Amino acid sequence: MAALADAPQPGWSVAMADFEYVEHPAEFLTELVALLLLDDPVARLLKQATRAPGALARWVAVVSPELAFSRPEIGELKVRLGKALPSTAAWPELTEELLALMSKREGSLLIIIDEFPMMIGNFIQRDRDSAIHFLKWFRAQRQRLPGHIRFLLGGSVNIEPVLEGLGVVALLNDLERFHLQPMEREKSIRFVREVLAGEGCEAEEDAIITITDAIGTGVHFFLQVLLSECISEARRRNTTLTADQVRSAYEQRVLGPFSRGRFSHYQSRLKSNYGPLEQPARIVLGHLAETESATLQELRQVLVIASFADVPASDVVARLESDFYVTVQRGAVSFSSRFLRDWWRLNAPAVVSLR
Amino acid sequence: MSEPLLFNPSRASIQELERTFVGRWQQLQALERDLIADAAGSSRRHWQLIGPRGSGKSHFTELLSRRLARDQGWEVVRLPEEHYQVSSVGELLEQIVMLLEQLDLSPFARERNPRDVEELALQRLRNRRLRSSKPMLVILENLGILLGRQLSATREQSKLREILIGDSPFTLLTTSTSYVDEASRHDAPFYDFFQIVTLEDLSRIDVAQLVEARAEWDGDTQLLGQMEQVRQRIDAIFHFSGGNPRLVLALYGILRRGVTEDLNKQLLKLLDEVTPYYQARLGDVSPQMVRVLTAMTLSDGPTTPAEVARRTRLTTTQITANISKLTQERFVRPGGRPDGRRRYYEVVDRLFRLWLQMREGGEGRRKLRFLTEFFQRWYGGKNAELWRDATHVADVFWQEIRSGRPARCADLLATLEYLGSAFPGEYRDLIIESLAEGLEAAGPDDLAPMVPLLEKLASEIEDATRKSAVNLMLTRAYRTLGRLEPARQAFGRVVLDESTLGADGLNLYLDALAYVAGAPEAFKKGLVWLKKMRMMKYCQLQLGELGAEVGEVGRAKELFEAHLAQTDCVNCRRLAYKRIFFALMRSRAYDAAMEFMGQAVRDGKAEIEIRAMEATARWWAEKLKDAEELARLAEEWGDPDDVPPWYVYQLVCVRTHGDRPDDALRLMRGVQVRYGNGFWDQFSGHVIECLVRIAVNHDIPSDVLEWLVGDRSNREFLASACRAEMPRLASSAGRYRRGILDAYRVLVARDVLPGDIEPYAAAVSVVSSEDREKSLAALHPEMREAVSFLIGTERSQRKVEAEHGSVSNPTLN
Repeated sequence: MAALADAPQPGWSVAMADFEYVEHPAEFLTELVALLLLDDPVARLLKQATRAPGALARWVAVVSPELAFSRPEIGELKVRLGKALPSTAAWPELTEELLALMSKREGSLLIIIDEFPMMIGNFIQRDRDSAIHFLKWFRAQRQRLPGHIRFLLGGSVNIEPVLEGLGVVALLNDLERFHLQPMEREKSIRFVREVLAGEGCEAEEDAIITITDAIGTGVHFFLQVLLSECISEARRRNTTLTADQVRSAYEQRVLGPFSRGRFSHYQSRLKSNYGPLEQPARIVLGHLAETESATLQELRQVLVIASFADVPASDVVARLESDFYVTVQRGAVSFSSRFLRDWWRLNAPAVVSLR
Repeated sequence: MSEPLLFNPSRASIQELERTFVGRWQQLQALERDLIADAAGSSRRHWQLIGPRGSGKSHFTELLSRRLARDQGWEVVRLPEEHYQVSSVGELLEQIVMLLEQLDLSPFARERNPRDVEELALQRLRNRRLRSSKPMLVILENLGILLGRQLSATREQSKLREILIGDSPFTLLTTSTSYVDEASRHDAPFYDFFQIVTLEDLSRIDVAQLVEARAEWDGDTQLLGQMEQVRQRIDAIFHFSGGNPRLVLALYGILRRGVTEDLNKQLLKLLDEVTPYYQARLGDVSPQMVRVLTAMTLSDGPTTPAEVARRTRLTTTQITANISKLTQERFVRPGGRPDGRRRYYEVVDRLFRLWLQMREGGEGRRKLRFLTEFFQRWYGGKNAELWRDATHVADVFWQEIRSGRPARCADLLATLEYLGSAFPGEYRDLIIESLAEGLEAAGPDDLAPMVPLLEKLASEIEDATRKSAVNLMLTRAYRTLGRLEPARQAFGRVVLDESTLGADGLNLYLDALAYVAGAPEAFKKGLVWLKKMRMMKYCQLQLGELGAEVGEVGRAKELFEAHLAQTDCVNCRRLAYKRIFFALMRSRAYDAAMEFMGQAVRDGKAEIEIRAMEATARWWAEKLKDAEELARLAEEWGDPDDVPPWYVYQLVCVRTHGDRPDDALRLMRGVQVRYGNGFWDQFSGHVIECLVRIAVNHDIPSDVLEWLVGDRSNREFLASACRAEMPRLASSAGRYRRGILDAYRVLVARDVLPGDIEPYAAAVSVVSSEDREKSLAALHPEMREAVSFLIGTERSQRKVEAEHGSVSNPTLN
């Protein structure tokens, strides 16, 4: 997303902001206006709008005489807009007018709303019905927008399980999902090499390979965690990074107690999200952590031994696979990355028999 | 000692910060490069510096910020550590604005809504950044407190993250004592947001460099001049501090001042000074973690989770989880696997361990335990240094007493006791031993004014060991003063745990007992102890001396033999022979004395013999109570590295009276060869006397005497010696002359002397004549005087006795 914002596609402008902290649709409106005011064409349109009739014009007119719609005054602008907002219930009408105004914008505009799921989570937490109302309203607005105005909704957490729980998952079905896939090994090696070079950290070729293979997957975050530790270590020692140093950083820092909290959600979210499948999932992951890979039949047997004969192993594996814990290749189930397997073996509590 | 703990980087000059910054230069320079590079680019990272309290975070950030300001023109804002004025992002930004613009009043004071303050302050900062083009660094300490308490609402954290990740007008450098939950929880806004820089504990080398850097900055040339010698102490600092710079500096204070006389007090003060620090550290972790940590601390050495679980009545799973967190907080670390299977953990910071033991351990032993471990590590087996320091402390003790200001004496005694307690095998009664050494040097005139002060001190001290030690000293002092009754009273207050007394303590105790209750009582008690107490085997020499004193020569000899049998050290044997000889001679057990001296000689070390003779000579001089003679002896003994002829003479005397006259003779010949005429001129009288005694001593076995005079080389030697010296000796032999004349007669009778030697021949003639007066009168006046002198007329005898006292045996009386 940042790359899109930094280097927009030809003919496109990008307005991007993090909305994680936004707690109410009215605040969303204020933030969105403030964000769009940084876009000169939109700012011009808004300025013109103050001379036209309508609720949006009246609202924006409150601040326009004294303030230029410019970056140096954005803070004060937001404060005034917030204070001048007729009522918190006015946000749908005002936003609709704003989006309608934006359709007149020349040129394409991509509006990136980062941490959109977190914002919706905030709405739900404050007022569930109001949140659902916002989602319905926002879906309708998106569908009305002309093609040159697009939304990109980013998020580091998956909101679908939450919406599923509320029975409104369809409110996002107009969105095209775009999952960031792990990099291939060669790309991972290149990534590692370039990050090290960018950080001015000299590394032996073996060290680069060791970083890549220790993580065992091209997930950027995992690679960066190990890279960060390796760079720190190399800087502290003022030496060229070696494979031994990588192994040490991996075992001591990434897998060790220092990073326990960093990855603990991998096991804690089983408790919060898996319901009756939590314990079978733990048993399956515990087995895979020890054996590296297993067939579905073997996992079935493991569950039977642990008194979970009534839980289909395929269900457990499917759920774990959808959450990127495991992968299934040619009938063999294994952890999705070597790193996750190592972490699980060292940090997740063992489950032996639960019934 | 408190100065280093109060080291405040914000008050130090940049020169001091730079010159005392060790072990982290690579990290600092790398971070500096990153900050500068980010400031020039479109996006910037924000940083979290992680290190336990005292790990040098403030030093690091202070130095970094000053360098950026000085070298790169950055604007730097350091927020107050406690964040008391911050409860929203708006107020956080408001604080930054006020500090940056050095405002006393907030420009947003009229705003009631924190979110408005947020927007306005952010705008103000952004605009300032645009106008000045100076990069801004905001240093925010205690990130955990800020996010966990002040900005705990998710909205606030999300907003701050949005500001930082977007068009942030400043770079944020935060510090924390560990990974902050709000930045490591997956669902938290700041999850993995900050770039982490971890400050590891200093290595052993770093600690040495830090000590050296501090000493250089403090201009402590004395310490710098002996860095190699204090390496052991620096290792101890590393051991106790665990490489934590703040604690290194605290201990550096001790290193700098040396082991002062009230070190124990200073150490306890140090523990008081670190109390807020450790309390704060414990405040960083949960109560259950504190409980686990306490259990680990109170166990000796590395321990297993299972063992901790038993002690705390928690489950092993709970313990493992807590240990994991404690490891993150760097309170504990894996401590190896002694049994090859289970995982062991230990507390990283030894000083913390000692601090907690002080507070949680048993009342009676907790201080001792701390100080014991401190001293053991501090001296690290360098007993000579321990003894030197103890002697120093004892010296100060006596100086205080002599000066009439015994205020510090109680602390001094405590230091001595703790020093001794640290080395129970060798120095457990160091307090008595070191004090006694100082007392030995004091004469009656010195002691008299000191006694009342010692009495007062003894009455004021509560600790039983120290009280007894002072009373024992009092007993010795009274003994020196010859005041038996007060000595008895003082000794009556001595309540020593005999089982804890070392050899020296036992010796002193026996010595005092001998004085107040008599040697028989002390000897009797000593024999009982010998059967019951292991340490008593090291007191057999003294017990033997007591035995000799009470006439139990046979038992004394057994004790002496037993002592010698267990003594390998040459110096110790030398001293033992000296004392044995001395004791036996004093009790007039001459034969036994000679027997041991012969044994000393057979030990084969001439040095031993000579030193032993020194004792004889000293004893002899003391016996005479002759100040002039003592002075003369001191002068003649001269350089102890040389072999003073006087010793040789004494040796010859002893051998003469012993059973090895052949050795005596051979020694004399060797001395003559070595020292030539110079020696001969000066001491020939004594030598001749020895020769004479060899000849006249009826105790000498006849076969030895036959050998002596029958041996041609011996005869020639004797003859030449007598010819050369006896004439002169006749007029200068003083009180020995009669013996010499007797000897001459024996030598003549045994045909050792070829021809007559005057005035001996004339004297023999006079003595053997029927009319001694007539024969004497017939002599030449000079000869008559000489002969009179030799044969010892009544008048001349009285004159001699008036000068020298009545002594029949000139050497060994």
